[in-house]
Amino acid sequence: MLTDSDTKKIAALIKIAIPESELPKYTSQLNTVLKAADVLKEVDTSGVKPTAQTHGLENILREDEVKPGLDMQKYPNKQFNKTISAFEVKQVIGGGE
Amino acid sequence: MDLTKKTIQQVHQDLIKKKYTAVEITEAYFEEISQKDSEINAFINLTKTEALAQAEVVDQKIARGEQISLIAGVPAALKDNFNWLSTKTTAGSNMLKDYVSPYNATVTERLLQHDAVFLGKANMDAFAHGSSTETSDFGVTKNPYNLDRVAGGSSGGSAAAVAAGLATYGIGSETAGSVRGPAAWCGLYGFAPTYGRISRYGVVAMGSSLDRPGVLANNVEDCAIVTDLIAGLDEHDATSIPEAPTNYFENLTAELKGKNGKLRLGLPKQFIDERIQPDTVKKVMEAVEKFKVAGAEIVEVDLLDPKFSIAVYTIICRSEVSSNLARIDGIRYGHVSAQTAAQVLDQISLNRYEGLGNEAKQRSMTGAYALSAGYYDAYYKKAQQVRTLIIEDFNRVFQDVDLIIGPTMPTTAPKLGVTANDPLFGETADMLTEPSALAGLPCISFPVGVDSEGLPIGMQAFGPQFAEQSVLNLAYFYQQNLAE
Repeated sequence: MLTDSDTKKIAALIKIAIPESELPKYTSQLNTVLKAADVLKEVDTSGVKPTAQTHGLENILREDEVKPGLDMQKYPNKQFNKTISAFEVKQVIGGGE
Repeated sequence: MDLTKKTIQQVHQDLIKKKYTAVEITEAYFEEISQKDSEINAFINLTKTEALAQAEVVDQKIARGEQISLIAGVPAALKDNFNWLSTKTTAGSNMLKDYVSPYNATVTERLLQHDAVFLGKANMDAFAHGSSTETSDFGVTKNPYNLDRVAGGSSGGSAAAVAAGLATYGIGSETAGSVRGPAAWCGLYGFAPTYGRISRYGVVAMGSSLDRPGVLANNVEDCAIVTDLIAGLDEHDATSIPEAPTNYFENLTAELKGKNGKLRLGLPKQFIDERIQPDTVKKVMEAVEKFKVAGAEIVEVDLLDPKFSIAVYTIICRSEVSSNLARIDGIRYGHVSAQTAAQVLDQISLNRYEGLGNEAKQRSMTGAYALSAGYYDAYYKKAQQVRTLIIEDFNRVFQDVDLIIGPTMPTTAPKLGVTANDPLFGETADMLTEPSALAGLPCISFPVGVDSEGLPIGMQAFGPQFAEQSVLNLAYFYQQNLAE
């Protein structure tokens, strides 16, 4: 069973600022959901290969040639700075934990 | 103009015979939407300007005597997780409520090349997380058969639009039963081909190993017509299948032929047991009996219990959701919090807290947990292994039978509010569609009657990978020869 402290760690991992007051609600939901997976323990899967994809295509490649991407200058997007042609983001490096 | 139960071929014939123009029928649909949709809530955003401009193009082509595509000028509902250049694509979420698509999804692109007319972007569970549209941040879509009931989901807006006569056909997508489910609950035909047949490019991703676009319509022909136009290899989707173009519509045949002569239909005993509503079992068994009388062989088959599919789907889908939604951070697009944080990761956490709804948060967290070091083997890998067993189980059964049939949903449409306090509503509601979705099999839901309260009941059929034609033909046989 997960505790509120586990939920807090998971929320930090997946980058969602869940406030302390809402942790119990999510802990309860997460425990209900994870409990549903318990039935998988009944199945013997020793030696069974995992399936990540159903139709078995592998290594789809194309010629390494440059193709035009999206022209962001044309689209309305308030987060894109058209003058410098880039997304401006907050500080990434330093000052962290 | 009567817009109920319109089909693509009817509208196409009317257009080329000049009974009305594409602009006229488009305007008629908008009139109907203005009368009915405040109650039903099938659409998130209407695209009247674009629709009328598209219709005008079709009318000019007709006036010039040019040949037009079957879908040209036929008004449709596009699920709001399909990108459409320069229009809003919210995926039913506040996170993307102001997001304007900078490109077309492949499905959108291919339909537009055939002069499709999109009336608007249809409501859906936010990020397709649900089977009711109750998780939509834009309100639930009500069932046109009974406004106290949900339309189903996640493609509930597309389904309700078609069922209420607010669009001729609808584009949807399914990860478990998001096309088949709302089709069943709204009395429609809902078709999704083999995983990889239709490109996922430009469809807001949910579970990438499961997602597949599909069609909701008033008949089988429409499902085939639209699928033929949107299916096929796409260089933008590396899981797209390099098979020859499909010709489902031309090859539609109302006959019950199997690979070894008589058509053998497998009926899983786990699909009609005590977990399924009696009215649903009764109607489906009546349809099964009709198929038998018409010459099909009915074979009781024993499949892995759907409870395993619920568990596998819960883990795999949520794991993929946590990965796919990680890109939705409010940095390049999406909701930005009014609170500001000094560091980018803290800003992302605030944006995501405010922009994502309960379901997206819960699914992201469960998925992140299932993928995390120490729990990966017990949850994600285990689920992937059981997924292999589910696929092998189908392979075994398909050696004996041509197609598998059964109810689409365990109940008819439930009352509004059904999902409150049930974090697994979608998974449980989709218990009969999850097994085939996990195996990526082509499937259809078709209407076989109503329950004692007049709510539609759907029957599903699915076959081995690439058996789309057989699946469509079975539903076509029912529609042409057995439907009441």
